[in-house]
Amino acid sequence: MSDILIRANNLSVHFPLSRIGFGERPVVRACEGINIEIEKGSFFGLVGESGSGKTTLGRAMLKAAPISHGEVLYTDGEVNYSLGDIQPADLKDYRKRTQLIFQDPYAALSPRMTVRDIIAEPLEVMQLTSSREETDARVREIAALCRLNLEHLRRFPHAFSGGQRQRISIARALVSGPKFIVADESVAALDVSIQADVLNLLNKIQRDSGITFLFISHDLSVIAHTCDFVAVMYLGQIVESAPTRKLFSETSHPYTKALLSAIPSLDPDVRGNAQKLEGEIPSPINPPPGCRFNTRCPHAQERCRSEVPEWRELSTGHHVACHFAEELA
Amino acid sequence: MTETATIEETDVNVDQKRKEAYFTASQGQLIWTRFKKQKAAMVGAGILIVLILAGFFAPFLTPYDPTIAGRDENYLNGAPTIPKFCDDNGCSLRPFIYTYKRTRSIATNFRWMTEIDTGIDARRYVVFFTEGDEYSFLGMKFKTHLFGVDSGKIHIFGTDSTGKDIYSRTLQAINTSLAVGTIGVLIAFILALIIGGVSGYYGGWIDSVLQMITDAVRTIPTIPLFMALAAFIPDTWSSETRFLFISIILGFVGWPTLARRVRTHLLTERNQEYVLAAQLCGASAGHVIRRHLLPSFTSYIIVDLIISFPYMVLSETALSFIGLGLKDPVNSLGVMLQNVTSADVLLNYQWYFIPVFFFITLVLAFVFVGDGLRDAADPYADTKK
Amino acid sequence: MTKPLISVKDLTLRFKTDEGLVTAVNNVSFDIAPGEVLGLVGESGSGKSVTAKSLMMLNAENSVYDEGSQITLSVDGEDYDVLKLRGASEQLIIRGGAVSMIFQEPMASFAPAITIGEQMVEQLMIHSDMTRTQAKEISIEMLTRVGIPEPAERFGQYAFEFSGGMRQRAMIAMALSTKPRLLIADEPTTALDVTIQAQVIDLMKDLVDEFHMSILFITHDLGVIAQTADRVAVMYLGNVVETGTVRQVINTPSHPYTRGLLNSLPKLEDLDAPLTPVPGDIPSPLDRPSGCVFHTRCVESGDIAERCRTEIPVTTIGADDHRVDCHLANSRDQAGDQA
Repeated sequence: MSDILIRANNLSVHFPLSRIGFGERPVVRACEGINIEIEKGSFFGLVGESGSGKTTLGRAMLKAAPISHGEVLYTDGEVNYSLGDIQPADLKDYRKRTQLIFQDPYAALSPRMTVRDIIAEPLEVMQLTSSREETDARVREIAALCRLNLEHLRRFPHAFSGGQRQRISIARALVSGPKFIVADESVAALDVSIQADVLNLLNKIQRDSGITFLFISHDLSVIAHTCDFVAVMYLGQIVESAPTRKLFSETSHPYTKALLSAIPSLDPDVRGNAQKLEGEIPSPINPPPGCRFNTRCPHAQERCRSEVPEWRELSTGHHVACHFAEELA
Repeated sequence: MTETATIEETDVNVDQKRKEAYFTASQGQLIWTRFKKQKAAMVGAGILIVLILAGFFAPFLTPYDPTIAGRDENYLNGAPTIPKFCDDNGCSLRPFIYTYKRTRSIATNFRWMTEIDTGIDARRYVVFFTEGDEYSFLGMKFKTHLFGVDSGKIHIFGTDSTGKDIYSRTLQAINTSLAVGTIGVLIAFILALIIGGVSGYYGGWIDSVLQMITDAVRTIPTIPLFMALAAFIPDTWSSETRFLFISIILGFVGWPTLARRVRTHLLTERNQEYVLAAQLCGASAGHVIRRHLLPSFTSYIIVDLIISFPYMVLSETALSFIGLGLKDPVNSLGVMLQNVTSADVLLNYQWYFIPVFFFITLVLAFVFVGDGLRDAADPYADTKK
Repeated sequence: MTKPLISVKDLTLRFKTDEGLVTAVNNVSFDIAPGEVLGLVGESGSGKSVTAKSLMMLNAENSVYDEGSQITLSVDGEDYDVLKLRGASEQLIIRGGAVSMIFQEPMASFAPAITIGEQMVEQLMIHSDMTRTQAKEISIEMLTRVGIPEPAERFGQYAFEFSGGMRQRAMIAMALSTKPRLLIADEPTTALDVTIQAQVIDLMKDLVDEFHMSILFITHDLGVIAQTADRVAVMYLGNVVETGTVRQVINTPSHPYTRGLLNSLPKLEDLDAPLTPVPGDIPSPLDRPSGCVFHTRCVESGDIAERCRTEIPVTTIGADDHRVDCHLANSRDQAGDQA
């Protein structure tokens, strides 16, 4: 069994809302009972639609969202942290080892700082370099990796296109030498022709440096091409997770199947085969009882409406949460 | 062949340089470029600079002391004396005015009458860089004034009921109003920064409490407040002290609006993703404030400050006009307008109103510049796809 | 050969900006036949939205149409010269009458303080002389038709009470209530989740059959186009670079940009294939390339790169009206002719 860098055990993230009138305070159950293990050096994909809680999960793993129940454990060979009750000094160290790449390339960079300053900021905040020359050298090194040259460093963000800005974001995430990077919908806002470029860059970085990536996206085809391992989320829970090939060849969960078939095929002759899901995605404030997918599942039975399905292993590395996974496979 | 090549190159070079300049322009430079494109704002800025300089150099630019000390006893409520170049007696290169004399006699029923002597000998020539009343400027004493007349006095905006030169008073009034405005805005700004800043940065219950206090202060009616304060000010206070006091009070009353602006800017900036990125690196609150929040709202705050200025000036004018603000010899537009309400003035001495045009221009100039800056300061105007 | 419902010829549109005249649409020509779905594919800056808005004269005041531009709408035997329509009453035919539009962000397209029902009724009453009761009946009917449960109740609700997918359906209902001949759909599914997207696409296809209407489907998603369109036009930086049937363009693309776009897409059928992006960035519209508009990013130009840089390519018309603007295709075509 290879090293697990970060794992979540029964993790729940709840956001309380303000009370309306009397009675119980409504709570957004953004994540519920998450069990996930991310191997060191892997490119782990997290896919889901809106309300699935994937962004919240990513942030919880960086301690940027509150952990309501369960635990997140980080082990990289040098330190061991449990994020639920981490001390401020340890948290500061944890921040040096983890980073986040945002979705919106236009909002993620301060318009008032030059590219050089943006990339250098983590170094200055974390005090990882002792002189300006050292900072500059490191910035140049990382910028070159992301195909940003010296000229670019002197400019301000408004001079760049979406794809270039995203590369600046990536450079900023890399400069502190993290071991774990969460890429939150990092290519969603980019044009298709540029998307491939950024994805290739991320893959290359991962291969060359061994950094572990958690790649969050709503686009299953993008995840399929870049990730080693995929977890599918629906309404705050992981419904299926497996190595990428297995997920596509041995899809078990009805939601994953529906998700796959809903992706419009590039072949004009393959039409009308989409397994259509009826209904809307329920609200995470009042998720359906039992299996959360039962309101839309074409195979829902009485058991699904009352009993929460167990998170169990179908085959090596392939987990699913469905009562009837074997029958439907 | 090489000729065309070089020209092409230079064109490309110029284009490249322009583009590079755009790429490396900081926010401040971008704002300035956008500001320059707005004609109304540029005109306003020009006028504003002229007026500010006029007020600053008032003692030099005006011929006489604007207080009772520099009055012209021979020319009370006198109409403006505009220098002429030519009259019935011929033309001259140097501009001149006529001699005025105040006399009374049995013939006029012992009422003071002003006589104008238009004889060629009675001409008073305008002289430039002449010696006049002493004034102190920047701590030093000077006597030179920009212009004057070789004998007697010149009043290009006329005089008031005690003989004080209105032109001299106008420029001094501009200076005073700007000074009151500056002090008021400064105090309001410091208070707004502290209160709005804490409110916006911390949020939560601190924000709620501070907002309630802000709203409460904002609802205080200014007229009764000033009446109370006016009654409170002891007569023994000098006019300068009174001036300072009024300015400080205006600042204390004016901070709520500014505080609200500061708070809004902070709340917006605090939620920006790049702030979160810094926090995820472990940045301290100090770093976030210094590196991200402060620079971001500097441009907005400058706009807010400039727009607050005319409100301060107008508040002070209104207060002084009804007698609750400044008093002689400290001079401001409001003080100068204190006596205009009598029918006598309205019918006969219309030149008392000349300063009003200066103030309308001053306030409008501030407003145009403020609006222009506000339009220019949006940092995302260029960047959204 | 039936007369096209909409015929766009040499549409060129420029915007007056501080930096000068910016060309947004350059010599664009295409036809839409009645009952046909034309997909307009392009990335950001391609000019597809601006083109669509031109069909309804919705562009901003600083837009300048070239002299030779022409858009002809043929409805019920009448021909309308769209660019010459002036005044609200004349333009009624293109705004909600024969032509309707649905947008990407349904939340932004509905007035937040007026109920959905009220907005639908208003639309109907402007375009016909129905009474309010009749309009309400038809609106509820449309809401049912687009698959919104409890339509009578939903009629009285506000936009924020609808979910994303339902809002988009309500928008479709509103657009279709006046029975338009052409529906312009500007990125209608981009903001939706993929499972909801599938539902909305199916709905639109059903409606095309039922109402016998045409759709101008604008999107950057080639997969959606493959599933919905009959014909496709590919746009890049304001030019149409390739037009053809959906099978022609997707299975046998002629233009290097189309090929590049298709190659850069991750395909589920082949998880091992590398992702090859189109190199470079889309030039700024202020900096339009000379000659062929795509030459700065084209990897296939090879020997004729000089020609691509200086000459604007002529449209090559291939089999079955498969059009492409490319020097490579041109020379292949000529070679083919000579062979």
